[in-house]
Formats: sequence, structure tokens, C-alpha cells
Amino acid sequence: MISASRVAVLAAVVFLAACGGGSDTPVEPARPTLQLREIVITDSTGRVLSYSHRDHWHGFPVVPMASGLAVRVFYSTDQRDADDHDMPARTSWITMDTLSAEYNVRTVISDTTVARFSGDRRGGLFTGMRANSASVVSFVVRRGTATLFEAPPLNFTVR
Amino acid sequence: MRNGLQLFMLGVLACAAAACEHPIAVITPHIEASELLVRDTSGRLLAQTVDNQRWTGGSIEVPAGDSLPLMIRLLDFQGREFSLESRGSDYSVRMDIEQAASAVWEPLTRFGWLRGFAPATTRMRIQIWHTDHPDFITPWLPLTVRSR
Repeated sequence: MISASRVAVLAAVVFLAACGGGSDTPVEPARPTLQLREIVITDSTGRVLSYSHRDHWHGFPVVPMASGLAVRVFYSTDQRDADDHDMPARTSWITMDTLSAEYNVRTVISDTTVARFSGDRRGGLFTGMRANSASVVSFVVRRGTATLFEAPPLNFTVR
Repeated sequence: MRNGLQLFMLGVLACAAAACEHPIAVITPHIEASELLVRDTSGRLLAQTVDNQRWTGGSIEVPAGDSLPLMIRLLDFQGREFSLESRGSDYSVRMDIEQAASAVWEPLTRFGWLRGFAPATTRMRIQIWHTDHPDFITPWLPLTVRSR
């Protein structure tokens, strides 16, 4: 026959063991509520040029040397499965216009002798600097100075 | 009395399980592969690892401004070829390309495009990713992006 005190001790042990290392787990700082997952790049008419999918992109922009390429940048809070390569649903797209001013985007081209980018958090203009060349561009979304999201580098060419 | 005690203990165990923050997840096994094969979409073998220490079959070539469809296959430890798709949806193919601006890998279902952007003589290696970590990493394979 098990006594009530033994049952109580056993219950306490089971509770403590249920989540091993619970008290040792570091407490994470509060995370921003906005969880950006993907980026969609369109031209000025809304035609989709590229969209990110986890670690890679589908579609790669071509920047005309003569005219440059005006783009708009959208973000998606949804992420498709690894084996589902469709574009993020348009209903999940958001623009930075809808967010407070503390959200900003850094756009960095790795080789600025190939092209340059000027714009704001809604989009901008790629200007080709060298015809028949290629580089990669990174989009980093920050809230204040904290990085929220970084897309994989996007390859593009200048023609 | 004994039944009551058993019910109480079941209740304790249920509470303990519910108290745990870690969700119960189905964990797929790591990919167990001995070699990796690179085929074109007709099935022709372009390159294969040997003991996953070196490559046989030469280098991969793609013209700048063009794309090469590739299928990545694996050999198990009995030498049987298999596809990642046959092992579920938790695996993906990634490529490291040393000169990142010269080419890129665009994976699709069952195959992917190796897209050439700028002429370069560089190297690539293939990684089989299992959710958030690589299960298999090949040695570097020469990659040539040719002028058109």
C-alpha cells in the first residue's frame, strides 16, 4: 500500500522531470510580433520578378543598362513548405507602408561596380553600372537597429 | 483505493505532459547516404562522389545567361539509388557556390535549375538539408560558367 505522502513526493518528482532543464533554460527576450518570412519583388507594374522561398529565390531580376529597373518590395508573413515552390499567396503580402516608421530596410549590393540601388523601404531603382555583369543583393529588414529578417542573397544581372 | 490511486497517477502524468512546453513532434531520421549523384533530367550521370571524398565525372558547365536542369540522387549503404522525395518532405538540396554572383541553384520539386549568370571558374558543393541542419555535404566540385 502506498502512503499519501509517498504519492505526493512521486507527483512532485514527475512534475519536475516533465520538462527537463526547465530552470536552466535561458529566458529569451520578448520577440517582435511581426514575423516576416519571405520577400516578393515586383516591377513598377506589379509583375512579379522574384520571390524568396526559405534559403533560395525563384526568379532573378535583369536590370536594363539603359533604363534601370524600378521595383516594389513586398513581404509575406507566410512561408510555404520546403517542397512547395509556389509564390506566397498575395493575400499574405504586406508593404512597409502599413508599418510604423521604426521598420526599415537595408538593401546592399555586393559589387557596386555592377549596379547601385536607391530607394526607400517600399522599393526603389536598380541602376546598372556595367553591362553584361552580375552581382547579388541582400535585403535586411530592421526594427530600429535590430535585424528582424534577412532574405538570402538574390542574384541579378545587368544587360 | 487502488483504482483511485491509479486514476490519480494518470492525472498526474497527464498534467505533467501538458505542463511541458516542448511540443511532441514527429522526427524524421537523418539521411543515411554513402554517395551523391548529379544527373541531368534525362538521367545521364554528370558527376558522382567517391567515398564522399572526391568526385568522378569531371566538372559541371553552364553557359552564362542559361540554365542547366539537374537531378540530385543519393546512394544508400547497399549501393541503391534513391531520391530525396522518397524519404519525405523534410529534406532539401542546397548548393554553395564560391563565387556567388556567378551562378545560383534554384530547387524545384524532383529537380532544380543551376543558373549561370557571369563567366567564372569556381567551385560548388551540394548539401542535403534535413529541416535545419545538413545531413550530407559533398566535397567541392569544379564549376565553369562559360561565356555565351
